[in-house]
Amino acid sequence: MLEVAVLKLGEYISLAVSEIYHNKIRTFLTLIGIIIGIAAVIIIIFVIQGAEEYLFHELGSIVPLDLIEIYGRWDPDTQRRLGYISFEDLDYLKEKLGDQIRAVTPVYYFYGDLQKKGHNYECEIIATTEEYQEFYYLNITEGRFISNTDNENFNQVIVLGRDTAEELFAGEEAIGKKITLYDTTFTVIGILPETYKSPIASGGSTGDDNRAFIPLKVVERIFGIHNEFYLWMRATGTETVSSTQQRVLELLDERHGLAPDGESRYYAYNFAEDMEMIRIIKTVLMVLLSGVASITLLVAGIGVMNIMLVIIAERIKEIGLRKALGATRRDILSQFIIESIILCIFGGILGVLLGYFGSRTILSFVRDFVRVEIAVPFWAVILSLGFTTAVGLFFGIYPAMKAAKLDPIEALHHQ
Amino acid sequence: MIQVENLTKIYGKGEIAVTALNQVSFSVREGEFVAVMGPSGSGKTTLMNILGCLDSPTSGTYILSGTDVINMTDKELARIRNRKIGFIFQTFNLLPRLTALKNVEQPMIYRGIRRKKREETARKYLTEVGLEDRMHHLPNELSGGQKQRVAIARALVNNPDIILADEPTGNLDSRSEKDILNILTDLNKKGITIIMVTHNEKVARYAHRIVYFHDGEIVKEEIVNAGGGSIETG
Repeated sequence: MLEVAVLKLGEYISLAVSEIYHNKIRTFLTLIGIIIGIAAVIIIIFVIQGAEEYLFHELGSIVPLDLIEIYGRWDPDTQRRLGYISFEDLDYLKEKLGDQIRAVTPVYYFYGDLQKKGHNYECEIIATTEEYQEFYYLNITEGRFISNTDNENFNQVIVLGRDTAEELFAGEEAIGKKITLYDTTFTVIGILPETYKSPIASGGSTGDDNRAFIPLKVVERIFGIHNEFYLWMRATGTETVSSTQQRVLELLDERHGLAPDGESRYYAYNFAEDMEMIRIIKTVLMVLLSGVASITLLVAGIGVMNIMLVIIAERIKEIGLRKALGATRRDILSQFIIESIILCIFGGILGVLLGYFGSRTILSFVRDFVRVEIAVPFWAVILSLGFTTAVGLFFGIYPAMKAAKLDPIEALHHQ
Repeated sequence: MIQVENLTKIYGKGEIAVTALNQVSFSVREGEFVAVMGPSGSGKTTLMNILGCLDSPTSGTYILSGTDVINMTDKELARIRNRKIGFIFQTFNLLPRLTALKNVEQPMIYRGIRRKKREETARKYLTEVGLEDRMHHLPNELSGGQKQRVAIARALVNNPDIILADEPTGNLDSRSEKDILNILTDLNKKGITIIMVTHNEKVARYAHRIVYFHDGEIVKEEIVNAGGGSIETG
C-alpha cells in the first residue's frame, strides 16, 4: 500500500513539475504574492536575528556577558552601605564557589587628578588586581599590567590608558617616569593600546582610553578606603549567571547576616538577564512581523486557489480520461493537491532565494558597521517552505475536491 | 462475458425526463466483436458509458465477467475500469504534455506498477501497434492514425477482458481507418472481446455482429461474420 502511494506521489510530482514548466509565465504571476511574502519573512528574520547577534557581539566587546557585579547595598537613610566586601570575603567566595566561577577580581573606581610637573589631568582611576585581565583582554604592548606582587607589596605603580598617556607625556617615553596622584608618587609601568570603540556605547569600562589602573591594595593602604570595592565575577557561561549570582548572595548572607529590613545586605547585577529580555523582545518582534508577512501569504494562497480552479477547468477532459483509465476520486484529489503544493513550494523556493539575495544586499550596505558574520538561518528556510506547503495544501483542497467529484462522462465529453 | 438485462436509463425528472435506454437486454460472448450502430440520441453512447462503468443505469442489471457491477462503490468501479476494460475514443484523448510512452503508462500508475516495469510494458504494446520509433513523440507530433494506435496501446497495457471503442475511426482518413480496424481485428483474434460504436456501416462490417439502436431500444441484430476476423471491403 505504502509503496503504491509513494509510486503515485512520484508520478503526481513529475506531472505537476511538467505543468509548471509548460505554464511558466502564468505560474510566475500566480506565485508573485507567495514569493514576496516568503522573501519578506526571510528578510525580517535575517534583519532581526542579525541585529540581535550584532548587539550581543558589541555588548560582548564592551563587557563580558557572563559578568556578575556584587556590591554593598546603599542605604539612603544613613547614607552608608549596608554591607561591605573584604579581601577575606573574596577568598572565602573563591574557595566556596570553586569551578562555578571562571574569574573574580575586586574593582574600585573614582576620578582623580594625575599630576606631572605642575600639569594637572583628571581621569578615571581604576584600582584592581592582576585578575582584571580575565575580564578584559587588554592587549598591553608597552610595559606590563599590575601584578599580584604589586598588590602584595603595595607597589606604587600605574598603568595609563592611551589618551591619558598622550595627555601627560605627549609622545615622550612614559614608562619608568613618575607621576603623582593626591600627593602620592606612582611609577608608570605600562601603557594600554587604543581600545575598540563600539558604535553602540559611549564611555563605560572599555572604549575609553582616558583612564589609569593602580593596585587596589595601594588605594586601601594609602587613601584609607577599605572594603568599598565592587566584586566582579565571571560565571562559566551566560546560562549559569543567574544561579551563580544567587549562590554568591546566599554565601554572603550566611557570612554577614541580613540587613535590618530583612533583605540581603548586598546587591548583584548582571547583563545576562538583560540579554534574556532582549531575546524575548526579539522573539516577540520576529513573530509579530513574520505574522504580518504571513497574512500576505494567506492572500497569495487565495490566488493559488484561483489558478487551481482555472487549471482544473482547463483539464476537465484529462480528469475524465484519468477516471476512465482507472483513477479513483482519491487519485484525482491527490494529483491536484500535490500540484497545488508543488506550485506553492516552487513559489517558496523562489521566495527564499529572493529573501536570501535581498538579505545579502542589505548586508553589503551595512558591512562597514557590522563586524559579525550574519547569515539567513537555516530554520527560517525550513519554516518558510513548511509554511508554503501548508498554504498549498489548504488552498488546494477545495479545487482538488471539485476535480475529484467531476462526473467522468461529462468530463470526458467536455469540449 | 457481458450480460445486461432490462437496462433503463432516464435522464432528468418529471416532465423533462428523457429515456435514453428503455428495457434493453443484451449480451456479449467472450471473444466476440460487436458493433453498435444507430443515429445520434439512440442510446448507444449511454449503453457504452454503462458498459464502461462510467455511468450507472436507473434500473436493470449488468453482470460483467460474472460480477454484478450495479451496486459497486466508486473505488470498485475505478478498479474494474482500470483492469477489465480498455477505452478507445473518437478524439483519442491523449494527454498533450506526455510522450506516447508516458501516455501508455498512465493506466499502470493507477494499478501501482513500478516505473521500470511500466516502461517495459508500454514499450511492448507500442511496438505491437507499430510505433516503436515514435515512443518519445508528443501527441501533436503524431498523425491521427498514430494517435489512435497510442490509444489502443494504452487500452491494452492492463490486459483488459473487453475493449470499448467509441467511434474509433470517426476522425481518421480511410487508410488509417483500415489500419486501426485491422489492429482491432487482430486483437479480437487473440481473444479480446470488442464492443465498438460506429456510424459507418462499412466499419461495422468488421464485427461479428451488428446491433442497431433506435430511441433507446435495440431494433435489429445482424450476424455479419460469424467466424470473426477481418473481411476485405471496398
